[in-house]
Amino acid sequence: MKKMRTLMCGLLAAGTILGAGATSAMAAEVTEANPGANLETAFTFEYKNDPTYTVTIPSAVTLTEEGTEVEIIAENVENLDGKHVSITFEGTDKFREQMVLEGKTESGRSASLRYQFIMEDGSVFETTGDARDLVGTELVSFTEDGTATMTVKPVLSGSSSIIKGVTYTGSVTYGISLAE
Amino acid sequence: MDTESKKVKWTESRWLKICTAVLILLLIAAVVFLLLKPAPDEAERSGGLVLDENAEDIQPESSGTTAEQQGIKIPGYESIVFPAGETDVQLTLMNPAGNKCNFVYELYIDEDDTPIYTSGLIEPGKEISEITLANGLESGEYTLYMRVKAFSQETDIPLNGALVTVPLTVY
Repeated sequence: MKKMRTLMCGLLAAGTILGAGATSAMAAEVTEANPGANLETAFTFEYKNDPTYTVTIPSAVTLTEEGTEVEIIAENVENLDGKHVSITFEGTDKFREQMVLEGKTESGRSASLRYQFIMEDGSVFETTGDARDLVGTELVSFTEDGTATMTVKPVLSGSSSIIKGVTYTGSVTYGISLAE
Repeated sequence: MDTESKKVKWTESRWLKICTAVLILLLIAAVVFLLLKPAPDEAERSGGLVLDENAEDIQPESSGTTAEQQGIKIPGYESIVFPAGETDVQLTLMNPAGNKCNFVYELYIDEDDTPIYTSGLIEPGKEISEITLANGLESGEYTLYMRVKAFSQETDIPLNGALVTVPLTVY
């Protein structure tokens, strides 16, 4: 029995070695005797319209009296060929793109208040009246990955439409592009 | 002697059986007692204190960062290329994983007010890679405006959005 097992193992090993050798012999090979053998390597590349960088914008505008810090973050910013990632003001959901928050009292009375962006360098960006001329104004820019912080602050004086006890909401559209 | 030892063994065996029977009866009695005993009320369990049903979750301070104030990741593009005359084109429109909102993309060419494409709601972590334009474009250079509208997943309320501007080449 033991001898039979040894014999079977030996036959299997021999069969494996012979099979591998035959496979090698059948591969394409350019030799002096076979100069016309067809050698091919296929290359494929699919050029896709994929995003190349990411900008994180603030999700919503919910404010306090002291103002709320929000961040704009740029990631995977590279190979810009001298350009920069430009973040601009592209309007709001309010009439004439005004930076205004609106709300209603429990009795249904409308209330509104303006807000402003206070940038890192202390400059103030705000809209008064028709804000369509301010659409396209650059707020921050990035030449590499980074984070810019600005404070969004309500303007609580100078308007009779401000009512206490109301939740004011609004949204902003940020422009994102590669600019020279 | 054999009779004596047998007598002793019989006596021991009898006591053993009696003790075993007593133990079993005690166990059964304990189980029955526990099953029939009434459960203590909440006050007794907590030593006399109960939860106040008027208590509510602490409202987050409005000066803090709430869940809705988390940022929204917006994909940006260096450039886009479409084949001329084709309506079925490849363009990856994604809502990056980690966003807490759904996206809708609207695509505009140059100054046209009518979108050449509008997507449905795209959930975070999902993307569209093939789109069908309203019409094919002639060869040339254009500006593609991608309006990204974000909506709260819980309430569908519009959140801040973006307008991504990308140079478009149609060949």
